[in-house]
Formats: sequence, structure tokens, C-alpha cells
Amino acid sequence: MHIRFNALLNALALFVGTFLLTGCAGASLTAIPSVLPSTLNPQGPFAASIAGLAWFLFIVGSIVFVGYMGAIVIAAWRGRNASPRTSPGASASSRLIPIAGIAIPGIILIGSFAYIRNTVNPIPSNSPGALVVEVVAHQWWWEVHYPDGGVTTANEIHIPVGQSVEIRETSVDVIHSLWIPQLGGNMDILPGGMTSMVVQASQPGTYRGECAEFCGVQHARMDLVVVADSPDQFKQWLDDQKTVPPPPTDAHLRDGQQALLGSACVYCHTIRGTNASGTLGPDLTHLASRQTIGAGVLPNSRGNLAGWIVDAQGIKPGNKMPPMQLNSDQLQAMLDYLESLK
Amino acid sequence: MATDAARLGKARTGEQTREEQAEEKQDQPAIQRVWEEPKGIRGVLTAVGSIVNGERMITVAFLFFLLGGINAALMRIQLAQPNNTFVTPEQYNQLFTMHGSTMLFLFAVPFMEGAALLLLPLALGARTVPWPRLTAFVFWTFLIGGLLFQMSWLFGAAPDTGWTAYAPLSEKAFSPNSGLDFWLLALLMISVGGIFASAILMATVFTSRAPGMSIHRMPLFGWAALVMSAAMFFAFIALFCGCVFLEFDRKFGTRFYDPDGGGSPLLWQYLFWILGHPAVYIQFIPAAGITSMALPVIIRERVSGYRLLVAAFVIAGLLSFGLWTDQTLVAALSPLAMTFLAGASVLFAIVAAIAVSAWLAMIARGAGKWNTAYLFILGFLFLFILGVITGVMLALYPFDAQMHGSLFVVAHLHYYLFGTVVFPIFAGMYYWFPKFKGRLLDERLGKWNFWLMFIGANAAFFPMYLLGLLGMARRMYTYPSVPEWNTLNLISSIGGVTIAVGVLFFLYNIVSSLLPGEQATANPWSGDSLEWATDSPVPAYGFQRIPTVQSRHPLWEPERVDRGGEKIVHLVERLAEWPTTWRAALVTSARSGEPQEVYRVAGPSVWPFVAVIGMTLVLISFFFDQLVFLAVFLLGVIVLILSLIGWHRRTKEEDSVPSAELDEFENSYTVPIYAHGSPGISLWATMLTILGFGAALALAIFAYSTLRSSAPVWPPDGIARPDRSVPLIATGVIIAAQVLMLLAAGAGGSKRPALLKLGLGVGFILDVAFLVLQVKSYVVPPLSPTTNAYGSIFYAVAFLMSIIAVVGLFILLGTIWFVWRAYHGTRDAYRVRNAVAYWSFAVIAWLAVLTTLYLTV
Repeated sequence: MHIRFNALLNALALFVGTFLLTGCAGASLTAIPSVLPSTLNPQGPFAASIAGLAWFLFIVGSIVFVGYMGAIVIAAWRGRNASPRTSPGASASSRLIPIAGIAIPGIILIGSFAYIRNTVNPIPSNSPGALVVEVVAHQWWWEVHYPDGGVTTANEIHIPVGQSVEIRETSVDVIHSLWIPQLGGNMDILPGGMTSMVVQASQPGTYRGECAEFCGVQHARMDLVVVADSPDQFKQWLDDQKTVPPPPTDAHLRDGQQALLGSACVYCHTIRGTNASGTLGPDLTHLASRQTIGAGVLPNSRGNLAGWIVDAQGIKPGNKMPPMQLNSDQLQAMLDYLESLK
Repeated sequence: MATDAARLGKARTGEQTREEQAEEKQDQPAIQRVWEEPKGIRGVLTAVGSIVNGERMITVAFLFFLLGGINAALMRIQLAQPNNTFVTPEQYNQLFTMHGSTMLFLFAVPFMEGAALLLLPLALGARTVPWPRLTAFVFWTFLIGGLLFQMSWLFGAAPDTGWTAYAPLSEKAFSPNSGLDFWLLALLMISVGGIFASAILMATVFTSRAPGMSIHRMPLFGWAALVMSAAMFFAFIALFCGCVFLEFDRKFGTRFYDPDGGGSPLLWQYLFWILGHPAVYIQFIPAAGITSMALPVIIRERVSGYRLLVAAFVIAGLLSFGLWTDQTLVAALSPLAMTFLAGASVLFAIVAAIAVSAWLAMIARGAGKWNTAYLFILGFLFLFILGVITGVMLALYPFDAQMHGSLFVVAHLHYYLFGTVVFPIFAGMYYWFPKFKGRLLDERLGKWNFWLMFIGANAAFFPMYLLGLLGMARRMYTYPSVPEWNTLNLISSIGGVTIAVGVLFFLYNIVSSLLPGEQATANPWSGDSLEWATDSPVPAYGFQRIPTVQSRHPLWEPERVDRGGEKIVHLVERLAEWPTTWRAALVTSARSGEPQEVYRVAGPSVWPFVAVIGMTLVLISFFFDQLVFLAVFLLGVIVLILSLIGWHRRTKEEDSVPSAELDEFENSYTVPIYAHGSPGISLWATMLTILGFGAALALAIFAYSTLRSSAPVWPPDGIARPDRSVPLIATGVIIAAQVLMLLAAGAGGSKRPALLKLGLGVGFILDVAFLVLQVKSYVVPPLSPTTNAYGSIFYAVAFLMSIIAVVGLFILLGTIWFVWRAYHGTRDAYRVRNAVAYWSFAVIAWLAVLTTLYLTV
């Protein structure tokens, strides 16, 4: 049998070509700064503890793997060159099995468990006196409450550096899971139930949170921005979020507000201080202060916001926001108004 | 004129050839004639042999493997680059759902079942399995269920909630199209097939081993098949219950998993993972069975650590149930459960280490060329060991808390499953293909096949470990551009293509071997187990002369294959020639393999196929509403009932051997012979029926207490406690009936048939009364199955009890009919015994239901 290398190479080339072609078709939608949400680059004590565990497990696991597989390959390699036997070997009891099958793995496993038990702190589910953030998962965005400050926002949480933050989670529709790899942990969110986990950041920065339990068509685009601020900045942010935006004084902005309040927006969105009080979609009271729109889909810029209002389905197909029919003036005024909601 | 003459001539020659064929048939040895399956389209629909149906199962399962592979290839094209739009989000979600479901439910599990149906009787030295018609039934459920499943693509409604279909995402509110219904109905069909396949395999191990094959001499594949089928038996029952609940939620508005109605999404996870976990982790056992058969032959070394391997299989089978909770780990489990879980995973790792060490010990002492089968075994060990190590990591709560829901889990699953399913299956195909097709596969192509798949698997799946660690969640239809993610995903995609090319080499190898390939002898590898004792390809009857066994490696002690007690040797020699009108097989004792009876095996029949058609009608009726639903449903039930009657109808063939000949046989060989049904096999049928219903009831009660524990008040919503008076009267009635029947069967028995008839008759009437009272006790006006989760589960448990009673009434009716018409005295006493035993179970089941629903509320 002759193998046609050329044919094989052609097939591979064709496949790589397919990659390039299909790749060009997609538009880049990255919003959150493209930080790698690596669990091996932890930014908080719980994630760091698990990262340490991970390294420990890799080292032990690699030794075990190389030990067993190496022994098998060496034994098989030696047997390969031995002259074939005519009659099968006699059945002999082997001391290898109790040693390599029970004793060695038993010692390794029990030793590792003992080590882990004494060194790794599992992520606590609650922490007395911690700042509480309530997260309500929706298909496919995050509603956020700060019960102590009476603040409601969406798709972005701010936490103070160096403090434990207890995230209490529930869902209004299906099962979701919130995963913030660099701060540690991942907890399922059940409809009709409440779960919680504690996170903590040791460095100021912006971290990526994602939904880790398949929750429907836009599961892949359900990100949560986690911003770790210094305690002062955090307090400032929380105070800003508490404020109710004053009615716009500028006539142009008033037009924008009217355009918004006169449209279908009010059925789903809330802007405190106005009669927009829908709860099906994100609270827009301080929309302009947020980094992204569409749960991490797009950076929060004027152009993206316009695109989102007019054609949210084209950007995130299947999400619950219908397209808005607006003329250019209405749209510009509405954008100005939304951009004023700092 | 000329053309007419030619046609006439043709017709005549046609007749002649038919006559010639008939004559030829007369010349064939009797055994060939009776065991041969019908030809043509009739043969397609009526063949019942375990060999033909086993081959069909693995062929169809392999085709589904290719389909699942195409799904995977499309996914890997989509993920090769960030922000790709090769498929839409909906399509991607359908692809990964169908990929997972197809690979597990239509490939891994049924392939292993089919391979066991094919191989197990031969490895045990049996002519066939005890219920060949059921084997055909299993194949048809699998084929039609699988097609129903894939048909969702044609309706543009492939399911898209992941192969785990977590509620409430899978409820009507969030998945309104019919995709989930295709998924559920196909799975219901396949679980019925899976339950029966498991029952057949268990009964084969316990009743059909060659004379002299005590349980300690059984080849390791037999142990593997036993443990696998026992686990799948219970697992499929759990899946069946879970799927019925979900389909009822979707179709009739029950509230099992609906949190707004007091239902519990976690209940679905529990029921699903009782199947899902064994379905995944049990795969180690057939893989280990295949390895333990092929490896010793390739390296010419006897099995080391037989007892330890058997113990490892059994423990792994039990653990695969204990481990199921880890899938719901992050959901909500107590610290105690987590400690238990860590302990269970340690045990599983040790079980794996025992098996690996046993093979290592054999490899170290033996010697053998690296042929393709050997390479695939080594590849299996490579992927499997890595899969187990990462599995232990994931069982550690802190690590799982980070990795749950990430691609790390996907990598682990694929190392484990590609290791334990795909590689051993390929090893097995290279090893056993010559046995069944009579031709060897090409070794050179085989090496290409192996290396491409091995390198491809590592390139495809290892990057997923890293991607998980780098924070990429699973089931994402696309991802933002991050350099590390981009590179690793591209490598993974190229690995996927490499696997596909490797599989193409395999397909080419099969085709080129079937066309002009090298002829295989009966025993091309000088194997030790009994399947190598018969011809290649295997004849329909398996063995003309049933082998007798004196050791664990019968063919390596050739002088022992046909030796044994004089009586046994005479018996098997007689059975090689006689009976000449029906298929005969041997029942041997479960422990020692002593011949216990000779019985008539059912011949070709179209009824299994018709039964599956009836079942299909029942299932597809769920796609319709109102009258059409009812009409199709009832039509299906009628077809099903008619087919069951046809299936068990007495045939002429049954009475074709004169009773004098039967008596003479019994006198000469002192082994009873049964033409109308076997007591030994009937006992297993009864026990498995009881076990099956018992498991279903236990699960329903488990579901009841799960829902109860998540409700603050029980019964909720101000519903009154159910009335106890009618159930208590029903209890009195069923116990009275049972006492009466026990007395009649014991005292009446064969000596006083009149007493027996009276006891069974009155018992039957009382049991009907029980059923009426029992139904009356749960059809209570204010409460309906759609009120809330309490109503749903209350009706479910009570309705299951009604089904148990209805099945029991049919069994009783059949027994009474038999006693009335044809009671042969002590020979047939087993029928009464089994029916009464079933009703003893029904009494216990009712007491459990009574306690759960009425007494402890």
C-alpha cells in the first residue's frame, strides 16, 4: 500500500485555507481589554491558593503519568524485540500488581490529599462583615445590586481591593454559573435558589467574569466586567452610582430623554428619576459609567451604542432586545442623553 | 411469441433453482438449516440471531460515530479562529448537543452493547443469547431511535441545550421548539433498548456458559460485560424516568423540574447523572475487557491478577454510581458529600491502577510485535492514564471550583472517552474483524490509522486542558481574540482534522479488506478464548459442537476443549446433530457451569420489529395534539399489544419433535429438555423484571423525597393530606390475594390442580379489585398532575404502582391460561412460581408506595 503524501498535504492545505477564509468573515467584537483570564495568573488570595494547588497537582500528576506510562512503554519495547514465544507463558502471581496497583497510588493519593487539606483554603461561601453584592443572572446578562448602598447596575461589578466580597447569586430563568478565573471560583446559579461565593482582589484592575454553565443561545457572550478599585475609588464609585441623575437642563438632552421615554425602551429598562421602570433589561441609570454594552459584547462607545440600539440582534443574535425604529435626529438625541448618564 | 417463450423459460428455471435450493437445503447439516436466518427482505426484518443483530448494532453505531465526528469537525472549524462566523450560534449549540448525545447514546454505549451481544456468547462457548428475539428488538429500538434522533436535523430542530439538557433550560418555556422532544423521545426508545440489552447480557453470563466454565474460568470479557450491563440496566432506568418526567413537563405541563411550581431543576441533574455518570465512567470496563482478552494473546502471556481485575471491574461498576454527584458538585453539596466524593475518586483511581498494573505485569513478562491492535491498546493506556489523573484533580473541590464548566473538563472527558471507548474499539476491530468477516485487516494501513488518530487525539484534546486553565469556558460558539486562546484553538482544530484522516484510513482498510483482503484462518492470532474455536466467519449457530471447558485459557490447552465428563461429552455430541427441527441451546448452572437443561431457542420472527413500530407510534404521537395525538398513541398501543401476542404465540415448530424422542433424550443424557420455555431462563426473566420495576419505583420515591425536601410545607399550597382509608382497604385486598395464591401454589401445586386453579382465579379477581381501589385512591379531584410538583410526583409514584399491577395481572392471566390449557405437572410448576413471586414483589412495592404517599405525610 502506497501512501500518497501529496494528497495528504493537499487535504491539509485545503483545511488550513478553510480556516483563513472563514476567519476573515468574522468581525472582531472584543470589548473587555484582552487580558487573558488565566487561573494561573491569579489576582486574589483564593485564586492564588487554587493556582498553587494546580501547580502541585501538575507536578505530582506528571510524575505519576511518566512513571506508569514509561514503565509500560519500556516493557512493551523490550518485548517487541524478543523472539516470539511458541507457547504462552505460565500464569504466575505477580507482586507488581499489589505494589503498583494499590500501595503506590494509595500512598501518593493519601499523601497528596493530606498536603492539600493542610495548605489549600477552599473558597468560602460566606464571610461575615464582607461587602455583599447581589447578582441576578438573566439570559444573557447580569443584574447587579449593592443592597447596602441601594445601587442597581448591570454587567459590571466594582469591588474594593483587599476586601472580601460576598457575591450572592440567583437566576430568574435558567441555570447559569459565574466564573471569575483570576479572582477564584465558579458557582452555579439556580433559579428559585440562592448560592454564594466570596471573591477578593489583591491588585486594582479589570478582570473578566463569564458564564460557565450553558444557558442558551448567547451563553458564549455573557461576560461580566469586574473592576477592582482602591477602597477610596470604590467608595467614590458607589456614591456616584447612588445618585439619581437630575432632569436634563439642556434642551437637546431633554429631547433625547423624551425620545427614550416615549419609546418602547421604558418597558424593559429603568432610569431612576424618570418613569422608565422596566426590569426585563439592564438598569440604564448610570449607563455611561460602564465599560461595555451587551454584557461584555462591545466597548461602551457612542458608535457601538448606536449600533446596539438600532440592531442589537445583528450584534448578539437571540438576545431579548428588539431593534428600535428611530430617525437620525431621535437617535442622536437619545445617544447624547444616554452618554450624559455618567 | 419468442419473448413469451423466453419468459416462460426463465420462470421455469426460476422454479427449478428454487427446487434445487430446497434440495440443497435438505443436504445441509440439520444445524445449518435450522439456524440459518431467512434471506432477502424477510431476513432483514425477521433475523433474530445474536451474531447478525450484534453486527448490525456495531455497524450502525459506527455510522453514528462518523456522524458525531462530522459534528465535531464543524465545531473545530468554527473555533479555529476567534470571532468566527462559519456557523451561527444556534447551529453551534445544536452541533455540540448532537455531538455529545450522538457519541454517547448512539455510539459509545450501543457499540459496547452490540459488541457484547456479538462476542459474549461466543467467548462463553454459547450458541446464542437466551432471548434472541429480544436482541432483534434491541437492534430495532436502537436503529429507529437513532434515526428519529438524527431526523431532528431535517426538521431544522436539532436539540440545542447540551447533551445534559439541564432543566429549566430544556423546559418548554426556554426551548419551545421540538428539538428537545426529538432528543427525549429518541432517548426513551434507546433506553428501552439499553435496558433489554443489559438484561440479555446478564442472563447470558448466568445461564449460557459452556459446560465446565465455572464462574472462575469465565474470560474477563464476560466479567466486563456483566458489570457493564448491570450498571447500564439501572442507569437506563434512571434516564427513562428522568426523560418521561421532562417530556411530561413539556407536553402536559407537569411541574417536576419547574421551580415556579415547586419543582426542582436539581432533580433532573440527579436523575440524569445517575445515567450519565455510569455511561461515561463504566466505559472503562468494556475497554478493560477488550484489553484483557486481546493483550494476553498478542504478547503470549497468561492473564495476571485475574481475581484482582474482576474485583476492580466490580468496584468500578459500583463506584460509577457513587461518583455521579461530582457533576452537580458546584451546584450545591454539603462538605460531607464532598469528602465522600474525594474518597470515591481515590478508590476509582486505585481501581484503574490495579488494572493498569495487571496489564503492565503481563507486558513485562510477555513478548509481542507491535501490531495495530497492540498499538491501539498502548494508545488507550496513554490517554486513559492521563484522563484518570485529571479526573482525580477534578474531584478535588477547590480545583473543581475553578475548572467546573471550563474546557479543562472537556479535555478530561475526551481523554477519558477517546481513551476508553474509541481506542479499545479500534483495537477490538483489528483483533476480531477476521473472526467475523473471515479476512484480516491490513497492518500497514492500520499503523497509519493508529498514529494519525493518536497524534490527532493529543493535538486536539491536550490544548483544551490548557485553554481551561487559561480561563476559557466550555460550550462557547466563539471567543474574543486573545493570542494564547487563538493559537491553542488552532492546534486543537488541526488535531481534529488529523483524527478524521486517521478514521478515513480505517474505512479504507475495511473496504479493501472486504474486497480482496487476506483470508483469515479460524484462529489467526493463536488466541486462547472460545470464539477462536469456531470457524471464521462465525456460522449462525456459533458452535456445532458446544465446547467443554477445563481451564481459563481453553484453546491454549487444546486437548481440553473437547474433553470432560463422559456424560457431558456425549451430551454435546448429541446436540451437534439433534434436534433437527428447532434451535437448541444449553442452560448451565450460574456458578459451576454444569449442564442443567436443554431448551428451544426462539426462531426468526417479524414481531420484534412490529413491536418497535408500535413503540415508535406511541412516541411520535407526542409530536401531535388533541385527537391526532390520541389516535396515533392508541394505534401504537394496539400494535404493541398485538405484536407481543404474536411474539409469544405457540408455533408449529414447538411441537415438531415427538415427545417420545424428547423423553428418550432425557433418559439417555439425564438432562431435562424443554420445547415450550425454559425454567432456568424464565427465572432470570422474572428476577430482572422485578429488579427493573423495583429500581424504577425506588427512583420515583427518591424523586418524591427530593422534591419533598426542597419544599417548606408538604403537601404544599394548602393541599389536604391524601385520604388513607381506600389505600388501607387496597392493602388488605392485595395481601389477601397474595396469601391465597401462595397457599394455592404451595398446597395445590401439581397434585391438586383444581385447588391451584381456584387459588389463582380468586387471586386474580382480588388483584383486579386492588388495582381498581389503588387507581381510585390517587385520582382525587382537587389534585392534578399539573397543579404543582407535589401533584406531579404523587401521580407519578401512584401511576407507576398501577403499571406494576397491570403487568402483574397480564402475567397472572397468562399463567392461568397456561394452567387451564396445558399444565404438565411438575415440569411447568415454574410458571406458577414465577407469577406468584412477581406478585410478592408487587405487595412489597405497594407497601413502599403506601408508606411514601399516604402514611408518612
